[in-house]
Amino acid sequence: MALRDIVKEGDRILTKKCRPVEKFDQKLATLLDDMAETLKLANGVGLAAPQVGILRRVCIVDIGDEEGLIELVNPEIIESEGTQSGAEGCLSCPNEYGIVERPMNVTVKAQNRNGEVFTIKGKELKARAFCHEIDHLNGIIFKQKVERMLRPDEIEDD
Amino acid sequence: MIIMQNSRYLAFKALYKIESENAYSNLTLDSFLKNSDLDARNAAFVSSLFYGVLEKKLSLDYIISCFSSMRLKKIELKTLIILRLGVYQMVFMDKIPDSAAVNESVKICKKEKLYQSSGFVNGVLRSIARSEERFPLPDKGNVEEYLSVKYSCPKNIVSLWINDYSKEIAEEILNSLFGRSPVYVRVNTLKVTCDELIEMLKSEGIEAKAAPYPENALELNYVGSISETNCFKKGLFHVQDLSSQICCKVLSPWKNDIVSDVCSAPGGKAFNIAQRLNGTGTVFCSDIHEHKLRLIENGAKRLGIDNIKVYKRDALSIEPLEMSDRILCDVPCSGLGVIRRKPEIRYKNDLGLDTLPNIQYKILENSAQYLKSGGMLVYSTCTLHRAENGGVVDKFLVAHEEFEPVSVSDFLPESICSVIEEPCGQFTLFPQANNTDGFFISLMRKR
Repeated sequence: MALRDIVKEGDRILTKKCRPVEKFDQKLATLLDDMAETLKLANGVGLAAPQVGILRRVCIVDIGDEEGLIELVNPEIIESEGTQSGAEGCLSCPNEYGIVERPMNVTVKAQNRNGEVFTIKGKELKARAFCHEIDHLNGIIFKQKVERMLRPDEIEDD
Repeated sequence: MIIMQNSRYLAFKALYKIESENAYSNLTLDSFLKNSDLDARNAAFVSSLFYGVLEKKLSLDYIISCFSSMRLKKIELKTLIILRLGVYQMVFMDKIPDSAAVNESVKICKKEKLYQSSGFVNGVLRSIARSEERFPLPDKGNVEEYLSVKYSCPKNIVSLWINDYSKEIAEEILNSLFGRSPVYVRVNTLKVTCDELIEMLKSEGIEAKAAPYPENALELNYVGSISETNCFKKGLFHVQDLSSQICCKVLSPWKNDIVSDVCSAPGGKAFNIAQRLNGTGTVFCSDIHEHKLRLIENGAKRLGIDNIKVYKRDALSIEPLEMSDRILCDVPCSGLGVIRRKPEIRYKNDLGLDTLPNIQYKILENSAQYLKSGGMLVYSTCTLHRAENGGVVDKFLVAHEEFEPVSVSDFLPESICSVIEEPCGQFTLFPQANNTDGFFISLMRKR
């Protein structure tokens, strides 16, 4: 396992659409392991491959609940329902947070690191994280969807 | 994606880690703060909450037990920590409105999905808010219980200090456990003078002043991360409490001396001694913990010290030491003198109060055989416990007539005063008297 550098806003890689994963090999496994380590150290809840400079449809989510780390390869949102409005930030935009409207519930279809297809549901924070990360795979960062950015004095406590 | 950090929630998570995994306070807090993106002001708030709750845990638990309908032991750990945090803000912190303390505590319950606890937490905190006497104390007649709750220190340590010293001294020690310890550093005399370093620190925005004693000790007025400063990176000083600096002064190494430091890691005293030798002689640094030897090597490298040799050795082993002019036995101890720096020490279930004296005696006896005739040995601890201090030394001197005690106070200025009567060759530094860590130094010469 190794830490990878997180690409910061302004880097054009974050604006590009990622290509699907076709080979489920050791290279993919290493990428996923490295991303998990990078996410943990950064204390984030989700990380997408383009954020570590890889233009492939791979992301991970870990909101710190009992489900633990979720690895998503070639994910798609197949169902979404309801809305929620709340603050989120991005590891590529340090110390910036904004209010973003997201679905309350989503169902995601994806493959695991061995290529097996599965579906997973998420609500509230997990739904938000799925949407945020899958947006990255399409070259979208949260600031493009933000209702408003928070002022520094609002960032103290939620 | 990342979500905003709530300062109180972060303090909660760090405290939970300490309680559930017995982790070290400073390492735990550092890693939580490093992984968060809190600004300096919020990081300071988290830090004061975290250390405050650790320090006052027994006081907080007593207050909770006075206002809770549920027995303390029945309260589940996460809920108890949320309560401690809430009570700490209400009783011991200024400027935090009760409503904020209560509401934020309830929020943490919800975040942790402790839905049943949120009503209980709300109830206990609100009844404290309504109460006239927020910090009730047990009856003064039961001295140990009273002092234990008032100063948040377990009864066994309170009784130990009352028995070893006196009720008055015990209370003075207890009273000195709160608040921040001063930060002292030792000027690296191989690279700079005291005055030069004061100026250089000043140019980095750090206020430093020379301590009255010993020479080349500076007190820093700085709350940031010292290891991030340029002066530190250039190896112009190392952090070292006055007590340890005094200990090295008492050892009084001379030019070209062979010195053995048998429980050396992390190496602060060895660095000080090596600097006193000014590049001459050799300091043999050994420690049983392999990984800690790196700390010594790295520190020596940073400071530009090349007259030390680092190697792995159990201080109890039969592997011989170099015949030495000076030996330092700064033995493992219960650490009751450094509670101010490491608040969780006092809550350790097994401080080793019964087993340590025996180990310490063996280390002293094993090391002392390698002292040259006319050489000097210092036996020291950072604890306030007679059995580990004078007890070990007295026993050693009785069994080894070839060693004679040498006055420690002859090395000390009058400003450094003793609180208790001690035999020649022994000196205990008390935090309340000298603003140092609690520390014991004894000095002896081989005839």
